[in-house]
Amino acid sequence: MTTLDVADLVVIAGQVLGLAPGAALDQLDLAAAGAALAEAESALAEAARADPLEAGPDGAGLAAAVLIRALLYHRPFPGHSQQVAVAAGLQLLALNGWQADLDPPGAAVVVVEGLASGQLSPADAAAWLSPRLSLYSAPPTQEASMRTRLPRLLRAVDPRPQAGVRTPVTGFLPFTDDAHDVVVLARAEADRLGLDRPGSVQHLLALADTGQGVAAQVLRRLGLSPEAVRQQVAQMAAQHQPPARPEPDNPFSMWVMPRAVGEAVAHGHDYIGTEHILLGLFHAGDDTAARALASLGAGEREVRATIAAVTGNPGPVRPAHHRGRKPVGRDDEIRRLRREVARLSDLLREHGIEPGEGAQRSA
Amino acid sequence: MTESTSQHSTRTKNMVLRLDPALAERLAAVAEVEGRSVSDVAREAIAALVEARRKDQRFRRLLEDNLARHQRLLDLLRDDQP
Repeated sequence: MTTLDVADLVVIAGQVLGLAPGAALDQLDLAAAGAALAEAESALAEAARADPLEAGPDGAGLAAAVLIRALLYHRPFPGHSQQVAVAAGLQLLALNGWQADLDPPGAAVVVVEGLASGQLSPADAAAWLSPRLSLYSAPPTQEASMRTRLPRLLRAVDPRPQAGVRTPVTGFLPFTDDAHDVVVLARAEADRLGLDRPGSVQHLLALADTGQGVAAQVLRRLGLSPEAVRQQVAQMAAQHQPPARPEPDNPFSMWVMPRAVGEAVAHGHDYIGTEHILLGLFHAGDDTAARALASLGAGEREVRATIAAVTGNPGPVRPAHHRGRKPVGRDDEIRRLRREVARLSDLLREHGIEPGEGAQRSA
Repeated sequence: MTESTSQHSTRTKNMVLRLDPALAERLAAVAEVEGRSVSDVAREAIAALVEARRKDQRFRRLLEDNLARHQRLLDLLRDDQP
């Protein structure tokens, strides 16, 4: 059986936290690391299993759970205990030929927090983890995971002006970081398929794959894993189900993003989030994504209700596509700007400056 | 073996190391010969081990695969509460 030592923990922590080995070593509480590793070893011995990792997934799950619990308790890398502990547990499994399928990750987070708080014992966690273990196999490609990581990495090394959508009515509405990722991923998927632009399906797959943002939380709450979504879309494509709605004459109305803008406006938001893109799928000209969601039990009503539960925002009284454009029109914007000018003028007067004098002097 | 010592650096702290007796003796011998603390020698030894582990291609490949597979989970995990 391969076990972990302190050096392993340092390498793992460095990789997880993005630190150079020396910096990771500086953060190490050596006594805590030693105590955690000794406790894990002792706990396994007490489990009366000579070699748990050779006893099938039950033993492997227990070994990982015991190690994770010990690292959560002793905190050899203060501040980042959960990430380091989970990464170490996964590495222990991999070194001994096992891999864990923990998607969707929400349940795993609950288990980790239960272990950290003592509400779950290592045996409880092992009982949850073991059925999710299988013999390790290297991923066929890095594509799936890199699709998720690439946009954030690119943004980190090459921050660009914030992306968003500008319309004559709303002005500029920026994407949230998560929504930006979805847009990038949807474009990449469309490029891969040779499409001119991403449609509803590409946006849905991107929403499911990112795992970040409100939409991802909503899909998880509705029990939709990325795999389930992808499988449903593939199944519908295989059956060649045509869109239920006839294609509109205006291709602009086929796109998802105008619908997302409408949802953002209807919710009174000055940004476009993943939840707006998700809702936009239900009113895009191509209804394939909407039908895929509905067939998985996530119709528009369920999605809206879950978004409201996740965000605490009850949402618009009526769906965006039923609303006019008046509420955030130019008149409103002009009124807002006038109020702002008046406020700034008052502020200047409070400091003995008459607004407009500077302009007259410089003229 | 349990040994208490102190680390001489900008962040001085007490450490408790549980070491194999033979290893502890070797560490103590090295420390005495070189006129350094046992913890300094231990830290240097760990740094050497870390460097060796970083060059272990199987270890690194498995680790990178794992982190990629579980990136979403790791992103969701919380930092420790102060």
